[in-house]
Amino acid sequence: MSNSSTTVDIRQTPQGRLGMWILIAGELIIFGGLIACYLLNRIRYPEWGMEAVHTSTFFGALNTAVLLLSSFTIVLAHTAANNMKPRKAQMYMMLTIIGGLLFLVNKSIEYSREISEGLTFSSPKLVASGKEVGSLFWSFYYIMTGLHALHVVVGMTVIFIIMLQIRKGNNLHRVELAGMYWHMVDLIWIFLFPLLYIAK
Amino acid sequence: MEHTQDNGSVVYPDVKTDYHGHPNYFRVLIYLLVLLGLSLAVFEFNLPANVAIAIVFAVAVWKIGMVIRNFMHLRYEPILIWIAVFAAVFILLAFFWGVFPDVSMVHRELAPKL
Repeated sequence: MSNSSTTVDIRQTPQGRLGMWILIAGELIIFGGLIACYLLNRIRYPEWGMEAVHTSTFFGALNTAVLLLSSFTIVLAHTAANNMKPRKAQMYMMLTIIGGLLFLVNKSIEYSREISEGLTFSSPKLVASGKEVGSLFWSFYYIMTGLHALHVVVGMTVIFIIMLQIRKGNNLHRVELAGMYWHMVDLIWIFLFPLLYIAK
Repeated sequence: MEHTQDNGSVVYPDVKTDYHGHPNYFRVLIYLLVLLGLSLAVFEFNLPANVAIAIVFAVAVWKIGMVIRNFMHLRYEPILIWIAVFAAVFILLAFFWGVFPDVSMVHRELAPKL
């Protein structure tokens, strides 16, 4: 690649991209703060490892693969938009939305299984068995994955709106901006996956 | 501003729509899926748990780097964008290491009961 970061002038950065980077930096603080608090508590309470055993590594890995594939389809939508092919871009955006839906379906299956086992916020089951510290794990789990799922819904909505906007070939640059948001959702999950599903 | 693609051809994109280069996205996806497989397989190698967890998190950071550099095109951004992103990461690390001694070194029995 001929372009490196140092050869590009900040004044050439489109305003939309600049705005997206500022938004992403803000989101990093929100999720990063949550993750840092989780890690600090995890170090303090090693018994959280016993709670993490109940999370499904299969569903976590499946959702990671789904998000990686949907990141790939949205970046293909961006390439198609650059090549002035709105129809093709719309098709890839639809595939991305389907990826998001699949992620949410998997997450709901996971949630329903965990809730039915009594693993909830301040789980009465854990409190009754003297594992109050363990119930805090589930509070973090639901807040982090729930906030992430909310971002998935927002990302799907934004992609859908832009998909409608570009049908006449206008505002094609917005495809990349929606894609940046979607990639951010993806990379947050990439870090949540080992944190909640693998480190047991 | 021109940029060279993987096949060596130089293109002159419209600045409004595309001002950066494009890596081989399919290759990046394959790397990401292989790394996902590695993070799942690492516990099969009978490594000490701490080492396995360290590898899993190193792989996660590597994957994040690949997504942010290639899919989000940070590698083509001016240095000020890098600074803005890494400033956020630095603030988080400062928070984490600032609080870490209080959490890890205070005797657990002195901590407020949950």
